[in-house]
Amino acid sequence: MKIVGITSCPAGLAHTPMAAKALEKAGPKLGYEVRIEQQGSMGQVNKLTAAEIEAADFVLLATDQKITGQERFQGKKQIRINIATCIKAPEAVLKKCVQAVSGDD
Amino acid sequence: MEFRNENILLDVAVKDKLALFEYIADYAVTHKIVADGDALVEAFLKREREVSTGLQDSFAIPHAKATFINEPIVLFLKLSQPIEWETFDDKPVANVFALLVPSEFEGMVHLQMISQIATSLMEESFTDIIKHTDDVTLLTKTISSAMNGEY
Repeated sequence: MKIVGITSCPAGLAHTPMAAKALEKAGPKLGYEVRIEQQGSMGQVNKLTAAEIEAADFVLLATDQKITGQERFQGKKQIRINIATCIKAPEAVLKKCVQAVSGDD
Repeated sequence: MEFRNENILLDVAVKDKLALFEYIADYAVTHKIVADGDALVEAFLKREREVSTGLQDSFAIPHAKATFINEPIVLFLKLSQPIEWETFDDKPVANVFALLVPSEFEGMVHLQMISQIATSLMEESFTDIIKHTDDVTLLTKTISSAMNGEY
C-alpha cells in the first residue's frame, strides 16, 4: 500500500511537521509506504512528485484548510482527516483509511 | 535564534492557560519582542480556539504568529503546578514550549529550528530529559540539540 499525503494547519508551525512525522513513522510499522508533503510556514516541504502521486493508492489530506496544488490529486481517492487526530493516533488513522479505500474495491 | 538559559522559565506559578499566556506576554514585553502584551495574549487564545496545542505526557506547544511580533523566539516554561488543557491524553500540562513568530516571516533557518522543536516533542528520548530535570544548563543543551535536529 502506497500512501501520499499533505499536512497543513493554521499557523503551519507545530502541527504540520508533527503530523507529517507521526504518519511517516507509523507507515512502515504497518507495512505501508507513506510520503507526506508539509504545507506550513516554510511553504511546501518535501513536495510530492508527480510519480509519487501517480503510484499512490490514495491521498491523505491531514488538514481542514485549502491546500496548495489540490489539482495534482484529480482522479485519486482522497481522504480528509483532522490533523490533531493524525498526531494523536497515526497508526489508527492509516489503518482506517486503508480499510476505507480497500472497501471501495 | 540561539536558545539560551534566559529562554527557560522555571517554577512558573499560573492557575490556567490565560494566566500562562499573560505571563509569557509580560516576558515578551520586557524583552521587547512585542510592544502590546494584550495583543499577544489574544493571538495565543485565537490559536487555541482553532486547534488546542495541548499534546500528551504533560506537554503543550502554544504559539502565536502575528505582525506585531518583532523576532522569532522559543521559550520553555516549567510550571510549578500542572494546569488544565485540552490534550490527547486528557492530562494536565506542566511543560510548555511557547513559539512566537512574526507573520510572513521567511527566515528558513529559524523556521526549521521551530519545526524541529515541534517534532522532537514526539520523541521520548527528548521529552524524558525535559520532564525530569530542572537543570537549566542541561535543558538549554538538550533544547538546542533538538532545534538542530538531533532528536
